[in-house]
Amino acid sequence: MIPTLRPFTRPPTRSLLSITLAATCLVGGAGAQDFDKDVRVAIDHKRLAVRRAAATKLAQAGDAATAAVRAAIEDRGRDAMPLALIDTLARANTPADGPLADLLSELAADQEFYWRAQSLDGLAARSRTASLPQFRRAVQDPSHLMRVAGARGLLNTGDGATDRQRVLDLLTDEDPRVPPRIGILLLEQGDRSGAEAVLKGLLGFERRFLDDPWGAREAQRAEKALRRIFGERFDALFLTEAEQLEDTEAREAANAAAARLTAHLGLERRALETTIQANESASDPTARTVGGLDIRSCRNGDLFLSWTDAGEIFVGLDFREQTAAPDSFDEVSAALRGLGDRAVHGRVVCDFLRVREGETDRKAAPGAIPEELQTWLKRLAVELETTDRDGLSAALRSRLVQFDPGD
Amino acid sequence: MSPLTWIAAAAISLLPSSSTLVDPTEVDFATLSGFDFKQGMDLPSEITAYNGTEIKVSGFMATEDGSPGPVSEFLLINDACGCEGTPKINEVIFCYMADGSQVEIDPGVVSVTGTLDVGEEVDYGVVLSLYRMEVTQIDT
Repeated sequence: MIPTLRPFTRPPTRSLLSITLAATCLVGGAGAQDFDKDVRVAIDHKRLAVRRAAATKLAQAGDAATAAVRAAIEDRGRDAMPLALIDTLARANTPADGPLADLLSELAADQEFYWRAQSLDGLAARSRTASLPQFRRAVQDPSHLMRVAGARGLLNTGDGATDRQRVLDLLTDEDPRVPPRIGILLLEQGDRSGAEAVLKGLLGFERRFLDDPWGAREAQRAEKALRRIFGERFDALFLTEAEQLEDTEAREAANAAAARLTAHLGLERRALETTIQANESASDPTARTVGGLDIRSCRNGDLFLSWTDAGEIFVGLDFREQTAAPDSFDEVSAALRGLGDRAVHGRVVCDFLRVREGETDRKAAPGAIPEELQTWLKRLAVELETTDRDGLSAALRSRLVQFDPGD
Repeated sequence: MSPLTWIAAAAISLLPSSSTLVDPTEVDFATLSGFDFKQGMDLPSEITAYNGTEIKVSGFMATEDGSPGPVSEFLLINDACGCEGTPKINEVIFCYMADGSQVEIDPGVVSVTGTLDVGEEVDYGVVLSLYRMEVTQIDT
């Protein structure tokens, strides 16, 4: 039996089995048999950190461990592979055309595979030119993570202006998480074309969908990237009076970072501050929304719908599109509120569906949507057919097929 | 919120509570995960200042295997969707209920209050956790 998580802070009670697994599998040798053990630990161990450590050991072995991973996939199926394993293998330092890269290529091409974007990103990091067609397809993929991974691949392996344009086109991607990430990729290559998108990501830290503070996560992502590129005190750019820093060394570092950033962005510092203030004045209808639907699908792409009690329906994480709700939408809205209860249905690994309004807050894994919620979702899809927004109902239906294959 | 306010708020959020007898110190994941963790490193002083203090932090509940509970231990993470990548060790708080009670995994953002234990929990060279919390309250 794998130990429970109880002994976080109580080492004396830690299970011997946990130690045994860690000891035999993480400190052991590098033979094929060991790799089989490592793969088992990387998949099955209860503790995330132990799974990740086993995955790291496999990644360090690189191509030599690929056969063991492939055998596990054939034996147990791709869905049994945890993100920590694929993610770690994707970031391994192996050649662009070796066995591990070949495996990642197969995984990235499987639209049903949860971690295909991480697999593709591994190919992008390896600058695998053989994957160029995959990268080109990926920038059109419904999954935002695939589009970003594809862009990285194109920037590393692309063939001329057309491929570069494919990347630049993503700076106006409809998913607000994409442009800042593309901007970061470009900045990392010394290209400031997407600098404004990165700043928007940085400054959009208050954005939320339902109760999810996604803007804060994107802001932190942008901040870390800018810190990596421009140095530790880049943030002092936003301290208009950086000169007021008491510590001389900090003040000089802040001013130097600010100078590098503004020079790189091609903006005067004052112009940058104006841009920032303009961003701040942008408003969103978060406060007016009373309910919403949040579908995360690595296969079909995410779908975000929200609505107010004043007849407005918004599409997108950032309420990008607005359409009028049908007259009878109030009844659909009330029916959702009437479901009540906060609950998670099924085992959520990656993809999930969540609905929320009033006291109702339900989250479900594919194949685990309870009947009353299925009924409501079908009713919502019918209702959306009568909105002016083309394809909205179809977009919902296509995702519901994944969550309820029997539909 | 202006950038200046943001910076000021971030700075304030780094300050530890002057007393654990008053309201718990509100901490966010941006602070807890705002540094690149490397095993064996000296943790930033603003992080170690939270060790042993009562804090309140918002995030998403999750289990190691994705099951919905009921559980007496859970992970608190910053992202509802696991698709973005495996959380780093400083992006996870390993929580356990102080009284051993069992709770359901909540579908949305929760505020969790409890005593934070900061430091590497190492087993055979593997850092199993960096943040652990003995939870006394969960607010939805």
